[in-house]
Amino acid sequence: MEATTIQSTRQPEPIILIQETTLTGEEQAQFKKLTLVWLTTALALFPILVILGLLMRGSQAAILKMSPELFYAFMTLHGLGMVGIWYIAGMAGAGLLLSRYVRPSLALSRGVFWATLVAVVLLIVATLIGKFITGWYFLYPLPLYPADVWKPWATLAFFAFLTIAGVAWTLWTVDYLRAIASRYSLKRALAWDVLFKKVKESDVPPMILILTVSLISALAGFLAAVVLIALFAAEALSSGFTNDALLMKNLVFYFGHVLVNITMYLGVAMVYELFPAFAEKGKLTTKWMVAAAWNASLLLVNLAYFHHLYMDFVQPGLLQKLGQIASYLVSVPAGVVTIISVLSLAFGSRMTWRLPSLLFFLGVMGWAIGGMAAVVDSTIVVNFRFHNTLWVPAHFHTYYLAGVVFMILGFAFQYAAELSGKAENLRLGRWLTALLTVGAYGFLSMFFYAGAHSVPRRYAVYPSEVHQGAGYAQVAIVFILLILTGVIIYLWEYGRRCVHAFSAHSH
Amino acid sequence: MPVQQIAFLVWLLFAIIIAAVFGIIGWRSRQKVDVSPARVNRFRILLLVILLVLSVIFWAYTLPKVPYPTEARQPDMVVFVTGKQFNFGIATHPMPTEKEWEEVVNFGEPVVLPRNKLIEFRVTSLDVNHGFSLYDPDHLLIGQVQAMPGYMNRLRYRFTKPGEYTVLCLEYCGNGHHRMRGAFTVQ
Amino acid sequence: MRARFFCTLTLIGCLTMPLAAGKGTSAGLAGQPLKPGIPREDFYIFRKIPDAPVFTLERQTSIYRLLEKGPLLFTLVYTRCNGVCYPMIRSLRSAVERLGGLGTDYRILVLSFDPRDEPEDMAAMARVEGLSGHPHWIFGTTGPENIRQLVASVGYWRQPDSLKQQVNHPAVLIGLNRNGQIVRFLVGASIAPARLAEVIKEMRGEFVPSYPLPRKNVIFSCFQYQADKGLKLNWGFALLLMPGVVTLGGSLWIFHRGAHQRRSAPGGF
Repeated sequence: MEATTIQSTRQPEPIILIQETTLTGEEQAQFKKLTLVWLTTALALFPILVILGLLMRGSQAAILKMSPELFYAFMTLHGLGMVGIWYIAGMAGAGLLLSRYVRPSLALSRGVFWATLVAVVLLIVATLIGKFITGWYFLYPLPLYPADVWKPWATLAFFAFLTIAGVAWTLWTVDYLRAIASRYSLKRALAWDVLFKKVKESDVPPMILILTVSLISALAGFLAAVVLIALFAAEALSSGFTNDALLMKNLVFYFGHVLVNITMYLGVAMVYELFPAFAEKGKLTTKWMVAAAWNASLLLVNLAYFHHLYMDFVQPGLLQKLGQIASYLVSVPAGVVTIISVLSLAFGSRMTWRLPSLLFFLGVMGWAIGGMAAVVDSTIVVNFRFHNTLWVPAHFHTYYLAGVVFMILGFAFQYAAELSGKAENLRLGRWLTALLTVGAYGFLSMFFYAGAHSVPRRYAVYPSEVHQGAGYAQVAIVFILLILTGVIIYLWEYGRRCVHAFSAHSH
Repeated sequence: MPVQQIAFLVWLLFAIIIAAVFGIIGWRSRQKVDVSPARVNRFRILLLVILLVLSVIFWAYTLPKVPYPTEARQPDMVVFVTGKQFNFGIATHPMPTEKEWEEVVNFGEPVVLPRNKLIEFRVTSLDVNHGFSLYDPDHLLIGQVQAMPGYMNRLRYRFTKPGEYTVLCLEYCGNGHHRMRGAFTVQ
Repeated sequence: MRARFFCTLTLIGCLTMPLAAGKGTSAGLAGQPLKPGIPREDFYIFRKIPDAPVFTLERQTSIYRLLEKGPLLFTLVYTRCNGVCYPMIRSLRSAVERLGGLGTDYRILVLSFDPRDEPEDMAAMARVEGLSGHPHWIFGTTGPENIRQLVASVGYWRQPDSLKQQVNHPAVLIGLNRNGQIVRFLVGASIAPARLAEVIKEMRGEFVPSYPLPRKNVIFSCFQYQADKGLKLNWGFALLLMPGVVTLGGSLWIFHRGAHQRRSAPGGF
């Protein structure tokens, strides 16, 4: 990895990390441009979805008055939207990094982009106009009980969104796997040669291992969604066929859990690939510990979702306990391996902290803190009192907002900076990171605190028994405004670089 | 100390340790120090072993305490709970139909439960999934179970604190989710 | 002659929806709210049934004396029945044979609710079903007043049909614990082994934290228990495994296809 030497100036040139690819000529230019379009689309939607979150907290804080239908429409759109944008940004970024070793399909990525746009429009129409307000998980049989709130066309639009996005993203996933398979055997991609001690370490980068693990898992998650949608359709179209509520719940959490988990891993893959260069150290290699931890994740990610069903006593007790054990084992090894890698890279490195490396570093920290909160909640006795309280959004917002979102923001900024060649303002980078971090943890702490004080999640307004929730929401609003300010400054800096890159291209 | 508080403090402790370690390492990135990969690896294994041992201790402590009883002790009282958009019917008799549910919700006497007795809640739903929760007189969430259509879930609880208990819905069930509630008294 | 039993069978038909074998859903009660008159477990749970003498060909005993030796599966029949009684005993027998535990965990008491039945008639019924002299199947009669009390205590009913000279009645299997309390109910002529397993578990002193309610047309349920064999797979579970299995196959296929490219590409490994 050729990392340019860092000058001790306040405004150094960006280091060139991402740009080299196996693609050539026009195809490479097109691929880079498409990646930028993907990232920019996701980033442009980000502040809008943050504002939806802000409005929801405003309603909970009893500051804003809105109809429950509007609140729950925002909630549905915010949830699916956020998972969606970070998934596509993560996948687009992963595609660019993959293209350094293998050749993902440009045409397919382009097709998926248009399909995604159509899906997004359908989602917005279904939720904001059609008031299809079932929450992201459209838990069976709620979509079949519209109670005059939404019309059949809204249900149709929502399931069309799911189907189009599902098919497009499945194809995207399969294409990445195909690209990896064109260079690496499954044994090497999953580092089984290292795992079974055939070799001491593998020259297949850890990023490939993590992506292979993620993509295979994502495929299983999408297929669970296919089964789910098919069963919904079967019930809607046939007369007399009824689904089993337990099976449907298992399927939706299988799909949802895996998708969210995978998005996190996409960010982690970026960190593995790029952070060593920021720390001015050689690339990470795939050693036994790394191989073992990520293979354990592959094995267990299919079982961890059981923790969503702890309060369904009909689920066999054995699976519940298995869920607790799997939830610990899926996060602890991969987390420890990653955290120690990143810490050891930073330690004594005399690295220059730039915006991307700061966000990567803090993103891993957010993953760890959020992961710890997840582990606490995946303990059945604790879940008995935390399930569907604000503790749940607390933990996943931690590893999303302060975790994978930080990582992807870091990645996107690095990419735009490289393309533009514009100097980086280190001081601004630090202030911006501080703003985002303070905003994020302030906002999150209110979720955690409310969860520990029995405040339920998904409430448009709080009844008197849990009125304390309103106070926490008021405090949270201040911090969300900090986040929003940070995001706007970030987007300004990012946007300037994109514009610069494009105008440089056209010259 | 309520479970929530213990869980919160455990998490907070870990979160502070994690943040401190990241802070210190971030600070120590300013000086040049050479670290041998072997040392890092040893440290990684040590940390992993510690965390796995901690996990096993956690499991050994928490898994036997799951809220799914295994022993079929005779409950002292059976209470039936039926959820339906957007109310909980709570009664000492079952409500298999909408009509009976409406009667309980509209005209039913509030259920009074004895203290220190084993109470069994038989919880189900007539429409979508709901979450049956127990908020004690101090509004502390002390337990819950899902109300799932097509299934009867059995939650057992022994109340020690007398007073008014509230039931809030803990599974999103539509535009009236936050309004959905029920109540009973423990004497 | 068969047409005679039509009415009884219609009733049974609406009480039982034997889905494909192994589906485990108990009597589907036409999905709608249960009609009054069909015994429903919720209403009778943990109530004590009254004691009653039991007359068999060999001896005279009583329900509570039988309970001293352990829990009982209890059902009411009549020997002249041309409808549900014999098929139910047959179904129960096959379920019990599959599950095991008879004699150790529980015994089965089949009582006649027809005052005309004599212990000889019940013995004949046992013989017809191949259970004659079985130590753990008790076929007996009781007194007319006892019948009335028992029928009332479990929400059972009898409706004479003079036209067909039959008595319409539901098919109910009741799990009694050692105290004579009703632990579980199963309604319907077709005894699903998975449901019976739950009843047996409960009678044995194990807690079953959840059970499915009678439903219509549910084909893909998820998990089912069998008392001694643990989890039982069915179609719902297969659907849950499908994504994992297809992904495994799909991934292997993608990498298998890639092998060709890897060989031909110069930079390949």
